[in-house]
Amino acid sequence: MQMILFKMSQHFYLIPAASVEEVIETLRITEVPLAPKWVKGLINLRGSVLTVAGLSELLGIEEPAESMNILVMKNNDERKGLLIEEVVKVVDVTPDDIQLEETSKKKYYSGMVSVKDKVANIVDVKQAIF
Amino acid sequence: MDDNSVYRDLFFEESDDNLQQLNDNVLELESEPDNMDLVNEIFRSAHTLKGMAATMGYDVMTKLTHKMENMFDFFKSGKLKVNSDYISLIFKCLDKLSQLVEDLRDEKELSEDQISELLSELAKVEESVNGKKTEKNTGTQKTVKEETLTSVQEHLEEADLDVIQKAGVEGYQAYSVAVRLDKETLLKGPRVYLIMEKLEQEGDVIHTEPTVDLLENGDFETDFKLIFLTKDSLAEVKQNIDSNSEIAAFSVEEFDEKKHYQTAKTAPLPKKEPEKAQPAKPEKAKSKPQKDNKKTVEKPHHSNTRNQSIRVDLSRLDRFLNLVSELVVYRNQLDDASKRNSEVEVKDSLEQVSRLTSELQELVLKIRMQQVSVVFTRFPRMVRDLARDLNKDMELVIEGEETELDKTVVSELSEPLIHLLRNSSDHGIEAPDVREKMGKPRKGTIKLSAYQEGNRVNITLEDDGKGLDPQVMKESAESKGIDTTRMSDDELIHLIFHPGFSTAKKVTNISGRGVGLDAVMAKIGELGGSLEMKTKLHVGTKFIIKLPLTLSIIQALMVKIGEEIFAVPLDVVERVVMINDKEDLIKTSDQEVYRYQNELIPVVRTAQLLQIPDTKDTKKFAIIVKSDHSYHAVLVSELIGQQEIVIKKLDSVLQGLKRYQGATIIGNGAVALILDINAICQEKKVSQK
Repeated sequence: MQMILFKMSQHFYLIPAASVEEVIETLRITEVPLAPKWVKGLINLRGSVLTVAGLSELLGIEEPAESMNILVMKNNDERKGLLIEEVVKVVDVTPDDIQLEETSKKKYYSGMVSVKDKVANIVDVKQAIF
Repeated sequence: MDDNSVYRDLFFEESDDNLQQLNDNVLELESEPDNMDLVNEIFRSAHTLKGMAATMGYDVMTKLTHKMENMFDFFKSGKLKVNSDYISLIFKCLDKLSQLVEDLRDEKELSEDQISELLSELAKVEESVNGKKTEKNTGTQKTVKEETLTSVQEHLEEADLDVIQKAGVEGYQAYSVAVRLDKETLLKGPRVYLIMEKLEQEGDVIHTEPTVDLLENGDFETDFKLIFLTKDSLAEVKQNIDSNSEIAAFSVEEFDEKKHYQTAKTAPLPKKEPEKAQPAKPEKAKSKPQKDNKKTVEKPHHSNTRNQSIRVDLSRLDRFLNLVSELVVYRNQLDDASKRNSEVEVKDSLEQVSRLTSELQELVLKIRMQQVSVVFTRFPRMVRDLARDLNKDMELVIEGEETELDKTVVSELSEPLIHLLRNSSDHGIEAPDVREKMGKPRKGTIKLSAYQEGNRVNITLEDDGKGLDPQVMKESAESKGIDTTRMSDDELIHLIFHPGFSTAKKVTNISGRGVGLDAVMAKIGELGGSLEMKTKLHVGTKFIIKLPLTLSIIQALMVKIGEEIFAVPLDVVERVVMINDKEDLIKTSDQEVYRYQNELIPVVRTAQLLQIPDTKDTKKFAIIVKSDHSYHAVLVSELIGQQEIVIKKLDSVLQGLKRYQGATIIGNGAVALILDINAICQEKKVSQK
């Protein structure tokens, strides 16, 4: 299974590549007043308006100083952006690589994977944003 | 039937049209039973429908249509007087046909069982008209007709006998053959030709009834007879005939002068069992899916998401093509000009391109528009049926059916409207006697009208029935465990939108299953519209549905609130005035108002409402908007200008905020939110209460 490895405030995270349609560089985000906190705003992706969710707000972690990438997530016909700090690379992960699947008490985490010298959390935010 | 698939879509589209037309015309026929032109027109539609079904090989549908057509034939010939029972029967047939079409669309196989009930009803009518004569055609066809299938030759001549005798000497045996073609056989002539050709390979056909010419033209019912001379045995002949398809039954017998040579005056022989009665082929295959079909009977149609299509006037398409080709010309010019760095030419071409773009935009919107009549036309029929079922006297008046709406909205509209109509007929309109006592005309009226207002279309449904009684609502709500303490009459009445609420004391099969207006409300909301209700006890109830005209492009006023850019749909804007925050706004103890044309109107501080930091500047603009018949002054910090914007839908989370109609992309590529002024003004009211 291919996963996208990305960085958020010194920590590493993985997200299944199948749920990501594309990775784009951060565009200008228009804020939406009164929207839930995790909604960062709206972007214009080649003529379509997409809602962008902030991963740091969803996970309740520190907001990165600079957000360079947006993952365009797809669920059926719906698309949403996920604001992250920076994509590192795409890695191959076998189910055996995934450890500590059940131990995390926090929402959205579903296991860990060691990628070389780093340890990355697998995050699953699909239900939260779609 | 793969090669048919190309025509399937066309078939469905045309069937839908024809069925709708039939529905309309039959409804009209009920009020004008003597209008023969109408009967003729109906006849034509039915015939077309039958033809199409037959061409596609949908036997069950063909059969039903054929029988229904007979009814019209009786009307035409005056054998039958149009009355509402017959009309109802025809409507039943039309409903069944629609359902058959629907089943076909879902790629279900049709079964004769689906129509047997109707066929027998139709047969009864035919019987009553023609007496026994038609019984043969209408009763359960197989058995009745088999009795008449006989190989007795009625028109055999002496000369033929002579031939048979002579041939007998040479070792040829004569067989008397009777064949019944499958009644759904489409090309009877060629079929007969094939059968005969096959026989002639083994011998000679010396006589046929009817004559060969008639047979090959297909000018006969289903049966034909022939005398066949061959050296083959009886079994071989049978096998020969049996190898043909589309034969329902046949019989072969060795020719016997006494038995088969008959003049017309002798009575036909007693029933003779056909050696091998083949049940009509399609029936065999159809016994299985019967169960599935039964289930769908109860379900209203439209079950699957199908490819939607729209009919477009050819001239519009032509214009489309012209515009696009023009666009290509200017694109090339633009390329060329930019290569040569000729600024003037680029500008010229751009001007043309922008003109073409707006023309294209307008055109494509027009193509997407559809008249609401597409939905409305079914309703008179529905109300008529409801009136009959409920023993009420009522009439549906339709106004403004030519109003146009975006296709997607129109096609989604029928369900909520049907719901509301049923509600009005069932709960609204009183029984005729009750109406008379109340001093109302016996006949209830339901008025359905559509009209455009700004960039919205309003659809109203008004009945002159009993209206909603807050007290009844209260009782009913309490019996369902809904807390009604301290509810105003208005609130009580609006309980009708409460999920799981139904006012009908009796649950009827028309409406009143508890899933009701809340579902309608949700559906309308989905379409970007709103639903309001006004009711007066004993006077009537009125539902107002407000829908967006189009889902895509509107004129908007671009404004700044704080530092953010927003779009305000222009249709709600009455005017814009420049004001001074400190001087022009009047603060009362509970709210802020603005004096507009000698009227005090509430002020909406959008920045506050949206929790955006406002500018310090006291110079502000008040956009005077009209929402729900009252003015509001919506404050913004800056005006940018008027612009045509493309509405992009927001996702459900942001829609749920009820502040924005959508978003749009502005010139610099950024996204701007479109304010939902109505919702904002309503919110203002509620928060003040």
